[in-house]
Amino acid sequence: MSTNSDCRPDKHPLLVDFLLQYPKCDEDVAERAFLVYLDLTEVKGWWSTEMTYSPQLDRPYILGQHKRFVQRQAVLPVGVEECVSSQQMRQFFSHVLVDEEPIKSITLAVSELDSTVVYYKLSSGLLPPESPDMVVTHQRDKDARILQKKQFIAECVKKAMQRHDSN
Amino acid sequence: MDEDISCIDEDMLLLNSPSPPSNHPAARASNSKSKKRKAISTPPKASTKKATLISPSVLGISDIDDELEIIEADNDEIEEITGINDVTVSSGSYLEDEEEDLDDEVDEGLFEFGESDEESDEDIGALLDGKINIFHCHGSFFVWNADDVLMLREECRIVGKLTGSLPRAPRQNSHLGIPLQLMPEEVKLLVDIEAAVVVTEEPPSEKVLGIREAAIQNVRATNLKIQQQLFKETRQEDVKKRMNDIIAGKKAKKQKPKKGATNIEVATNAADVKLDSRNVVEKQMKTASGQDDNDHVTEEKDSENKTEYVGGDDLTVDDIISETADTSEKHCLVQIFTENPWKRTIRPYFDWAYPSTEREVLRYHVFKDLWGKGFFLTSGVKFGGDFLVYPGDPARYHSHYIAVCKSQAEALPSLDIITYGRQASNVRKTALLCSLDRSKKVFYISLQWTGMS
Repeated sequence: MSTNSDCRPDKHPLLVDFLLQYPKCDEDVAERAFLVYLDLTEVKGWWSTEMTYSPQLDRPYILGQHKRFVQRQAVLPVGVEECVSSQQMRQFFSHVLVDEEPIKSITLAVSELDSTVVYYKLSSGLLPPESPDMVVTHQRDKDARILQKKQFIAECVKKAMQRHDSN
Repeated sequence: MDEDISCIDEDMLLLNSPSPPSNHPAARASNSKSKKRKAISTPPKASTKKATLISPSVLGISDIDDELEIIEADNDEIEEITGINDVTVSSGSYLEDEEEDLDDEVDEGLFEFGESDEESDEDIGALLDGKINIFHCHGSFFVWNADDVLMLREECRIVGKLTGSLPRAPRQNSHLGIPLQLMPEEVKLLVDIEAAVVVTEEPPSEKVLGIREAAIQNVRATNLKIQQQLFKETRQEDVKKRMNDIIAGKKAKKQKPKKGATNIEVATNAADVKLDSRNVVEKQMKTASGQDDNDHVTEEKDSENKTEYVGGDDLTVDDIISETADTSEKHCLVQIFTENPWKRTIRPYFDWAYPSTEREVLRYHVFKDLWGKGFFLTSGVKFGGDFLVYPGDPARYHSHYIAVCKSQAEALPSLDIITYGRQASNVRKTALLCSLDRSKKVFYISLQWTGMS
């Protein structure tokens, strides 16, 4: 019979590296944050993800880009059982750094122990809603993508039919 | 002055008959009365307006919204009471004794204050002068004046909530009317910017209530008489216009009693119409059967040469009118006031300790700050927040934010963050966490769902 600790899978090498780099970070907290990191990297397909640590907040957070050529964003993992006051939220804005700069907007990743993660965007101040023009543009982009895909698939089917006929 | 028994000027509640005033008993009465108290009579504007309201065909409440004008007898000023949607009609005789009582009191000015030496009256008058009156009633705040309600919305960006039942649609509550109820934050803000005064109203004494009831009965009775008169006059006009048809119809009936048509008295309101239609039916029957062609022709001739027969029948407009029954009391137009039409004893309400609790302070600061940024705010209960924040008039815009007031130290469970964020995004809004920092400055954090889950 092996002990409980022996049963646990080895830590991900990146997490091990992170813990070596930031020895102050609590190991359990780091593991929770790493779930978010994995979700962003492997499931959501973010670019250039990187785990880092804020000594002021005593929290790990993640930097990354949801598309290849967009501004880097910060994602702050928070456990589902945690409480956050609005004062703390203000501190997030000043201590979470992207490229050494404080930012106006953070994504809060609320994570459950079963690795369910939901993302909410916190912005300092009043965030005006998207203008109707932007909404229309987004919709048009989306429609264009769908159309492109549809044409591609129709083309595939057409080619397959031609091959079938020639045989 | 020990008691306030002042009331509205009854003359102004009466509808003026379109006929010359001297011909009408009620008008005569009011004329002599106003002379007695050296007051001006009803402004012509009011009288014409009201006269047009009364038409015999309308037996319920008039569709025309109007305002009632009430004259202050002593200083010839017209105090307009607006927000009165339904002009009503009634009428009656005056009980001279009571009138005298009331006349004496009318001279006291529009608002009267309970205990009054002259100076404090003036102070209070100056305080109330030109400002919106917000009535405090059992911890709630109401605005009763329709103009004030509009002004609040258009000028002050204060929306409030209409809470009154509509007189003409009382059995529903999706559309409501005056009074407008205000949130404490709205009231406090209006008082702070000196646009409004919070007042309370002294309940009138038993004696005053008795006098008012009697006065209202008088007005109702008088208005009924005036309405009956107006109905008759309109009916007279009607009959005059259609006299030819009526006589022709009668003649036709007389000539063909064998046709089996029973004679019907021309007494009811719609008599002439019925008569006409009957006539037409008879003609149709005749032509259909092909009989009595000669009769038919002569009948037409008859109606052309009607003058001959008028003399024969001796039928005049007055005959028909005299047979018309008076309109009954239940068909009388009755005015329903949306604002207290009586002279009121109001006094400023000072002992309002607001904002007192920490939460009230927070809410008020947030309200004032957002209002100061040019937004319209309403209660946020509908969406689980403190306020809804609109970029313009709520009638024209959707709200952008759901404001949630939290003190900055209050620990917010992350599940609550999810709740607010998800709820707001479902209704295409942004949740707004509002807190006060140490220097009592408001700071905001916008909360949105990212769409990733």
